[in-house]
Amino acid sequence: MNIGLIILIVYMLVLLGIAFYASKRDKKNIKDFATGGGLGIFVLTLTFSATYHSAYAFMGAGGFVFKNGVGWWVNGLWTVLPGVLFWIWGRRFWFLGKKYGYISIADYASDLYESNAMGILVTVITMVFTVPYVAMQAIGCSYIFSTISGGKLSYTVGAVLFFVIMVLLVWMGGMKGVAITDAAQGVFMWIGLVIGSLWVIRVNFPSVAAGFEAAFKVSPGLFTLPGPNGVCTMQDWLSRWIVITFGMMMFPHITLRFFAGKNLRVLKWSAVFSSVYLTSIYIFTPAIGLVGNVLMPNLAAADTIFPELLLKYTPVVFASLVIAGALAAAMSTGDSQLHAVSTMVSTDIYKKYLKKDASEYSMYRVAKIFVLVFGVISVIFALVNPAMLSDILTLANGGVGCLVPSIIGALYWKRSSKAAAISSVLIGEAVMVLFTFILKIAPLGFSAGLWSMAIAAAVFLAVSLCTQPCKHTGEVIDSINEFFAVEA
Amino acid sequence: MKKQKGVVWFFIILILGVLMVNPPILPLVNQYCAAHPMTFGWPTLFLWLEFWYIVMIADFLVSAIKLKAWDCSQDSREIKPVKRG
Repeated sequence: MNIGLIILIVYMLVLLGIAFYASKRDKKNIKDFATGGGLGIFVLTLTFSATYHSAYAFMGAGGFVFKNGVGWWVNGLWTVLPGVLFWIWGRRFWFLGKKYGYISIADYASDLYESNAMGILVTVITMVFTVPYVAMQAIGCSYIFSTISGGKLSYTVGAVLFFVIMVLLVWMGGMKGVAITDAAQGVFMWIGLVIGSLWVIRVNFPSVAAGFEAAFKVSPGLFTLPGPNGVCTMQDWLSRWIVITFGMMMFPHITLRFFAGKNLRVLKWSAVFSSVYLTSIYIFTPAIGLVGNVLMPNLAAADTIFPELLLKYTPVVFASLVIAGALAAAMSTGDSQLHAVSTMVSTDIYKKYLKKDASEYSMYRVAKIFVLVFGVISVIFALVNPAMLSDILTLANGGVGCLVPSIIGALYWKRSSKAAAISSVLIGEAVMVLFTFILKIAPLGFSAGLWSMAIAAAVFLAVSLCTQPCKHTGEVIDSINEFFAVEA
Repeated sequence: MKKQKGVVWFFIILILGVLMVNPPILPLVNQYCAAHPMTFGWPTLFLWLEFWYIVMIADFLVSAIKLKAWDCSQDSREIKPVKRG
């Protein structure tokens, strides 16, 4: 067995140890399984950040720069703004969680719009689009296992290993376990990505600037828009940052964290530090992607550029440790997603429609069973459809992005109506499916995700103005405004 | 609800940052980058974008420290849970 694989196995055993430690504090009820019983600044910052950054950070990001150049740094907007939204929107959700007991946005939507149909719609949509996202983490892990073992471990074995570890992590620790392992992985992935990138560059060039100069001589088209392949157009730019920034905030693994802060102070500083963390982690990623064109110009799988450079240019022990950081990025997102969707099934379907008198313990058990179910579906998806990571990211975010107008609208706008919410989600999703899978078009160059979000917003606005607003929405908005009013 | 002056400034700076890294400003910057692809040895486009992202983060950080509306004084208030039907 090679040293790289040994390090990865040790790393996974350490993670399982942390989850086991968390399991000792598990109160075996759904509320704690869902929210972790109130997290502090350090853990909430890192669980939000590590969950937000997935396999894409290690694999997709470098791969995109390698192929399409500096235009990739549109990423900056979807790393700065999530922290801001985590605070601006998140504190309102946090308050509602305390006052009305919501632990998911499906629960919130169904109560605010006084509509079970809306709750079911939100649950189904977030579940459906979380599956490809978990699959994306499985794909990232499979690449990592395959790369580090020199091809001895197949793509399939990598995906199955990912599945086993994910299920064990969530089963053992619930939200607290997921959050603590995320925190450890968050530290690990920051060090891995920043130090690992810098090491590869400094081994080959006297400075980062010298690396850029060398890359410019090889492919000057990488340094301006739209890049050598014409991918980073203005339409692509707008589509990516809008859909990913806002869409991502609707995923259950992110929204669950709105409710998880111990208090507002924790939420505020976690939001600020998350912006810093998420943006700073990419400081040398452009350099890695660009110098990849000098050091490995003929690499076939662009997404593997970073691990391939590490294995070639740094000592195997160091490279393996950094690659374990890549595994951390994938697993911290994967476990949070499995945990979040299984919690939704338990609270928003099982308790609400199947067994209204379900005990906390039986809900906790149902959530655990669905961790397994969603894990299996995601791995099957990864095995049959290993598309490029950045494309899966955009598709999944576009799918949940249609929820933004109705979910956020009800936080601020008293005219929001049930008919508007349901029609905006249904029409938005129909546009997304039509453009992506049936017509396969991007009108005017904008992505299907952006079109569907924009149309969902227009429908929400128009129908709200023509229909009776929900009385309860107005009451809830008043209670939020009253709570956050600044005393003169 | 009246917005505090500081909150308005926070949003003005944030929106300015977003505008600076998007069309119609970005194509103009891109034209400049085509003529001057490197600045201090780093890609000019990357530096332009990074600068505005740092401005936005600094705006967020300063607002979190200074704004009265964000001082989290609500933490001392009791939130009475509402029983749902």
